[in-house]
Amino acid sequence: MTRDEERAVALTIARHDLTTILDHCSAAYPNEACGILGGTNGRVGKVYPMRNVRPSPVSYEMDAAEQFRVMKDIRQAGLVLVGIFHSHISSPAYPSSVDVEQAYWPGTLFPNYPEAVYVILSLRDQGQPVIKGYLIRDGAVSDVPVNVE
Amino acid sequence: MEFTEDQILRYSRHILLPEVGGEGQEKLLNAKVVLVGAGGLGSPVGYYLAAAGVGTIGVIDNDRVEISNLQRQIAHNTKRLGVLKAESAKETFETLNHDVNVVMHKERLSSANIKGIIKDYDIVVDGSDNFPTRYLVNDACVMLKKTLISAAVFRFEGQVMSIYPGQGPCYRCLFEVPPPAGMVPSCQEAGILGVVTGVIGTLQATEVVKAILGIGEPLRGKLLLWNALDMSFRTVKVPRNKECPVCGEKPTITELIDYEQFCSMSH
Ligand SMILES: [Zn+2]
Ligand SMILES: [Zn+2]
Repeated sequence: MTRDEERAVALTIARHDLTTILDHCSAAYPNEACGILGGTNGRVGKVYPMRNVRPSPVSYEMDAAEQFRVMKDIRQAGLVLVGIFHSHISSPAYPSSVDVEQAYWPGTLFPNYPEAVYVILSLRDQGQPVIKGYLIRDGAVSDVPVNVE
Repeated sequence: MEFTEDQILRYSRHILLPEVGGEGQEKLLNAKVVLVGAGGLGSPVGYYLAAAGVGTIGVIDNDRVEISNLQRQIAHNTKRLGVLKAESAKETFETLNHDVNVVMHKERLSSANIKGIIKDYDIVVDGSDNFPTRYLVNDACVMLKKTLISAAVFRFEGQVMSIYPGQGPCYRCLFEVPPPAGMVPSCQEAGILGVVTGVIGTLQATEVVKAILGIGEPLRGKLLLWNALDMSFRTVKVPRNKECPVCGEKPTITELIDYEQFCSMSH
């Protein structure tokens, strides 16, 4: 199987998992929040809300040690990293130039997490959060539908 | 130029190619190429350029051969542990081909010395393992209008791009500024499958030989990405950035910058 075939064509998430994401992002408002999604075959199995070590309304940074623990937990649960989520406070649910930059090993187009769907939750209208998914590869951004079940 | 009988035999497989011929071989023998680093990438580049009869090969490196280098840096060997890499590479390349003169630059590149070193060469090959050097080399090549064959490797992947200043994008058109130290993931993670440097270095050498001969389509305005695990080659179009700080319409970088060294990509 080539990597293209392994790549997600959609991300499926259960309603209660979506609620976990929403609650985490709302709690951090007006700063961005972030987290990791473990799962299999493009289906989210577990949501890991993460600490934003540099709280800001325009960016996020995960704690390396926490990230390491989560990746280990994902592996031990027989899951893989299917997504990385974060919130946008005053911009739409679309990757910023910094989001795109952070998706790669710096100074290259080598994806840090080739299989991950980048999920962005926009809280620009707090009453009506918008959630969208993207693949960031080869310097380009493409849409991945996020299905809520 | 008259070839000796040995040279006609040595380069016969080149001379047989109509695209190379005696004329092309003469271009190779007269060419001057400088390698930034004699490590994982510089080793295969230098090896193939020496075999091809590139007459002058500069080697910029002030490191010594360590045992952990030998998993991929094929210009060196176990007997040369502790030897300067520039000296070790000279020995290797000149032993392969006596037509080649390897010029050693046993220095650390900086804004103070880079222009003086590369000005005498036609083509620069970047095989450096860190951001400050990569940006320094790019900027110096743009300023001196030197063709630059740039590459990077990481884990199981490699990328190559050929930079023809004035004719196509430079490295900064794509990656404008070096990343802040905090954004670089833990350096210890940056392992590299040895053979990846061989593939990518050999691709760089191919671009050098094509540039000298003036044949084919260079990776100008294109970034080639290779992944060892799924054996995929992908090419990404890279446009020139009008706002590029060094090669754009209104350059803001007109003097070389020594960025702080914070992490090496370990290759
Ligand atoms: Zn963002
Ligand atoms: Zn440029």
